[in-house]
Amino acid sequence: MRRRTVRPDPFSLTAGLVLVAFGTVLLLDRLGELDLRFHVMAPIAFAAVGAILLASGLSRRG
Amino acid sequence: MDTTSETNVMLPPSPGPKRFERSSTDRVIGGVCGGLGRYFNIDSTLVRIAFVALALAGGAGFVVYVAALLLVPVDGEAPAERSTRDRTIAAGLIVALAVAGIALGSFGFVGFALLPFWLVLVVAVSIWTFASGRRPGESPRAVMIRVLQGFGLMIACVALAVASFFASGLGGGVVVAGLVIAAGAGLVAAAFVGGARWLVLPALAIAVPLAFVSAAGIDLDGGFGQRNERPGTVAELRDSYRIGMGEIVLDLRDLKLPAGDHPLSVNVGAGHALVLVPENVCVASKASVGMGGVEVFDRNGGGIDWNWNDNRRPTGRAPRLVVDGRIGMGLLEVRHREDGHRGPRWEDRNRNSGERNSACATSA
Repeated sequence: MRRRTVRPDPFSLTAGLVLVAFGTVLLLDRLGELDLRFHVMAPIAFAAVGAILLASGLSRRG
Repeated sequence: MDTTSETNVMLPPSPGPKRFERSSTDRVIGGVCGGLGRYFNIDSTLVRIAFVALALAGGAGFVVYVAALLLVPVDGEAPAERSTRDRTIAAGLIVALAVAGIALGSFGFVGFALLPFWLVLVVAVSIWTFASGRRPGESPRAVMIRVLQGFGLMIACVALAVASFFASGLGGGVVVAGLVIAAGAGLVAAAFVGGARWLVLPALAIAVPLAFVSAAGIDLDGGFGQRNERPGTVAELRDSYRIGMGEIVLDLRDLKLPAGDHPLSVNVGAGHALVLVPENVCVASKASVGMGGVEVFDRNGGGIDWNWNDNRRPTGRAPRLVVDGRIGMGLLEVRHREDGHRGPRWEDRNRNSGERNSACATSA
């Protein structure tokens, strides 16, 4: 009996992982484990949004 | 015998006149620019730039685009397939725009008036396209439905962003961060059952304001609006004042401060704090600024992630007010007189209130 493998949606997978990572950074900051100011937070936020947009563009091509 | 022989020659069908059609493949909104690019054999990006320029300079680009969207068939579609209702809508819209243009005096003014709608149209379609992963259908009705759906999504995201900003600033940042993680986990799970692209937008709408609040150190706890504090005696002077969002004016000019140090903590989430001090008081100050600035008499500065330190010593037995500011987003000012000016004087860093911290020694 052949098993059907489910191929995940690459955009949702990538965006979800990026959001989990970004949310974890934000959570640690709010809990006081990190103290992120603009010079660190801005690149992280831009990288997260950029990764999501990149995943969106690549998944549309595919 | 007839020597003439007839030969049947199959001629290729006449190509007919070149036809302007909207593109079903090269399109962002309705394929008008893609169709024009194909018709004139030029890059459709250049056509889009020209349309944006025309929309900004007079609004003609907006009018022409909407008219073409409604009147020009998409490629492969027979002219008869266009419903008379679409044509009626198109004619009505063009007449309405023309009447509006005449009523408002010039198309230039109409262009500026239409600019927000044009931007909303493009942004709404872009949001819908991003959220759905598809492009809107070719028909004007499909485009309009997507515009409305995209607009609704945009409004929902703005509302979420505002809610996230206030929730984060009022101490709910942990919950908001948890929601971002939950949305991300939901997306990962949804990836295995077809995906849920739309979830990205609300997740970002709550994540980005939280990141901003965290980075600026905005603490909205402390109330909103305008607050005036004027302690009459030293005993009434608290060592800490705060405002969540708005303006606090702390007038200490009635106080007879004794010699020695008097600590004063001023916390501003987002807004403006003005501290008015008697002329015989020396002010030493330090501040942590997320985004904004500090102006203490004739000294000022500001920026992002910015720290202020102006450690001054009093002359003789003058009292010293030691101000410790924490500004999320906004401005902290210390002055002797209130001159009605509000806000930073960034236009000229050398221009300030003109006052001096005269009770302090001249060297910093």
